[in-house]
Order: sequence, then structure tokens, then C-alpha cells
Amino acid sequence: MNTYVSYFLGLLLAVMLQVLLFNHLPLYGGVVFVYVVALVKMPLNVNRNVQIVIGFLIGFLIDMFTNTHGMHSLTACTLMLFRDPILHLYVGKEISYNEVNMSSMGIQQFTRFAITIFAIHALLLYFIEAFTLFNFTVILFKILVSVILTWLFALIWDFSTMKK
Amino acid sequence: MKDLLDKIVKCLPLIIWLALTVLSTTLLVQHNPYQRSIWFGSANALVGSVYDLQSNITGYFGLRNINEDLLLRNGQLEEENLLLRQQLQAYQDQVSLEIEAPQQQYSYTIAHVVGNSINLAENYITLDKGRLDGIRQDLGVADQNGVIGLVAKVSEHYSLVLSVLNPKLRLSVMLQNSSAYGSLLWDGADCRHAMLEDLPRNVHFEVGDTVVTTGFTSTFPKDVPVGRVKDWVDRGGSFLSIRIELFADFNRLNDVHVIFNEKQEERELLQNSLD
Repeated sequence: MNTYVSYFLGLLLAVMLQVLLFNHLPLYGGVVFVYVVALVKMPLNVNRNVQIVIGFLIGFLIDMFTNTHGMHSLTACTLMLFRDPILHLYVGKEISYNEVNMSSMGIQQFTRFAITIFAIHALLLYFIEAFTLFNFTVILFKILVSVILTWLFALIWDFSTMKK
Repeated sequence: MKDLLDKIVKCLPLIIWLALTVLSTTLLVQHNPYQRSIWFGSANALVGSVYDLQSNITGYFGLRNINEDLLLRNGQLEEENLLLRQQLQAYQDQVSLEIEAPQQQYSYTIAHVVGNSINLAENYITLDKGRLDGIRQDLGVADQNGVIGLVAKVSEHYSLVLSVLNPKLRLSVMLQNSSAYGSLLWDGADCRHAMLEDLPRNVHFEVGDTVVTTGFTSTFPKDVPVGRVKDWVDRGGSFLSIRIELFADFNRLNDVHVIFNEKQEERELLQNSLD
């Protein structure tokens, strides 16, 4: 139970970091998606239905803060739908560990998985946003920057929480 | 029967996802932003109070720059005030007549920015004053440097401002020197620039010319500064697009003033009476 509580608190912290800090620090239009890193790290034994619903709720919370009605909820629940299948794609069906991080997966596999899932998220998010405003090269560039920044953040997170 | 049940359980994640997707898509595609419930946005009391807390802390950052801007603006206004006083005095002396002061049409109220974004496709600003402070829809918002946006939605204690950095906002603006007017529109590229569209091709202007509001709409008085001409794009046809460097620094908004027009209702009633 303890791991779930601490994970949940971490998730809320990530949302607060996202809306209060990282949303205000865009680099070349790209943003670090802290809450996505936190969502992706959801313990693997959580029921998939619950995963999708939590993804939606977290996205909804972000939407409330950024006035983007439905944009983040849609991308976050889709992200959680894809997380397990993509993870299985890279590490196989049989997974002996419960945490998604660098020390349990190894840096190579973790990077492959992280880049794929962050790219799906950023693609979805920026193209949903672009319904109203279309500027293809700018959007692609934003996606690229966001994915790289988010990946770097995930690495830093894992390095700083790694047990020696 | 058991088979069917098994299948449903297997597809449950997909079903849940589909339901949530439909839900968020409905939220996403509601066309009229005014209809969206205040509950789901930053004008909601809970979200507003979190942003309040943040602005209490970060409000002190950049105060030195803001202070400089204010002092500069203050100096300009004092100079202008002095000049106008002298002129008025001179005219009064000439015609030896007491001139009745015109009725004040615009008044201001100061509000703090508690939420702001600059990197989205559609940016909104949250202010810490709402309906109870007399704020209502369609009031103009500016800071010491220039135009900021238009009040889109109000709740009891907060209001949501359609930022200039939002393609849904179209402002009627003009070149100060030539009085030629067009509409100000954000093209989504960056937070320092916006476009002045629909300007007739024959208008003469130079880089660095000041762009101000026209006063055609009842939201902003005439001559509120907007920005200065940076460069222009020729897209053919009979209109030019000019890139405007905005005076307002959306990166560090802190205090803004909301502009009340005492005669707004009267004017809107008149203008709407023709439809």
C-alpha cells in the first residue's frame, strides 16, 4: 500500500511542478512534461482500467490549470492505454519487476521505451492543439524539443532517486 | 455466456478509453469558449487559489524591471500632464472663459495576474478580480506598457482574460501617424510579436512606427499603445500584413489594469439596435 500512496503523492507533485514551474519555462516552444514522466512510471501491477482512468484524471487536472479543456485529458488517457503494450514490445510479456525506471530496465531499454512513449504523447498533444492553428514545421520542432527535454528530465529523475 | 463476459473484461480498457476519449473530445470541440463551464478552468476557486499562492511568491521576481517601466511611464504621463495643463491654461487665457471639464468616460481598476501562459496555441490570463469587483465580460485589459487582452469570462473572485497571444482575439488597431487601421491578430509564432492584418496597401509607414488602439470598439479608449512596427509581409492582394513588436512583456506580467467604459452599455445598445 505504501508504494501506491507515495506514487500518488509523487504524481500530484509532478502536476504541481508542471503547472507552476515547467509550463512557464518553454525552450524553443518545447516544454518538459513532468506529469507524463510521472504517469509513465505508474507501478506495473496497477489494473489497466485504473491506469487509463488515472491518466484521464491527471490530464483533466492539468487542463483545469492551463484552460485547455480536454486536450491533456485526451492525450494522457491515450498515453496510459499505450503504455503497457509499448513496454511489452521492448521488454517482452514477462516482466519480473514492478517499477518502470532506469535501474530496473537498463538505460538502453528505458531510453527506447521513454522516447517512444514521449513522442506519442507530444505528437498527439501538439496536433490536437494545432486543430485551430496550423504551422507544420514549427509544431514538429516543438515536438522534437519537448521529447528530448522530457527524456532528459526522466533520466535526471532516475539518477537522483537511484538506490546505491 | 462466460465466454462473452471474458471478452468484455478483456476489452474493458479499450471501452473505458473510448468513453473517456469521447468525453474529452466533447470538451475540446465545444466551439463557444463562453459556454465552457468556469468549473473546468483556472477561474475556478480551487485552481485560482493555487495560482494565488504562486503569484504571492513569484510576484516579487522581476519587480525591479517592472518598477523601471512604471517610473518611465509615470515620467511620460507627468510630462504630458504638464503640457496639457499649460495648453489648457493658454487657451483659457485666450478665450477668457471657464472650460467645463468633460465627463470622465474611462476608469481603471488594478488586478494581479495569477495565471498566465505564453507557449500554448491559445493563451489565457487569470486575474484575481471577478464579478464581485465589478469585472464583466468584454472589458479591456492593459498594463503600463500596452494592451494585454480582453476579459472573456468571470467568476465571483477571478476572471479569465483572452490574451493578445490568442488567435481568437481580434483587436482594432491603427498606426498612430497615419490613422490607417487594421486588426491585430496573433499568428502563434512567438510571444513578442503579433500581426497587423488588413491594412490597405497604399498606407505609408516606417519601421518603428507606433501602433495604438482605435477606440472603434467600446473596450479600449483611443490611443492605448500596442506595439511598434517591426517588418512587413507582402502576400499580394490589396492588403499588407505588418509584424508588430508588442510593448507588453507577456513573460513577466504582474499587475494590470482593467478598463471600465462608463458608456459601454449605451454604445453597444446603439450599435446592436441596427441588427
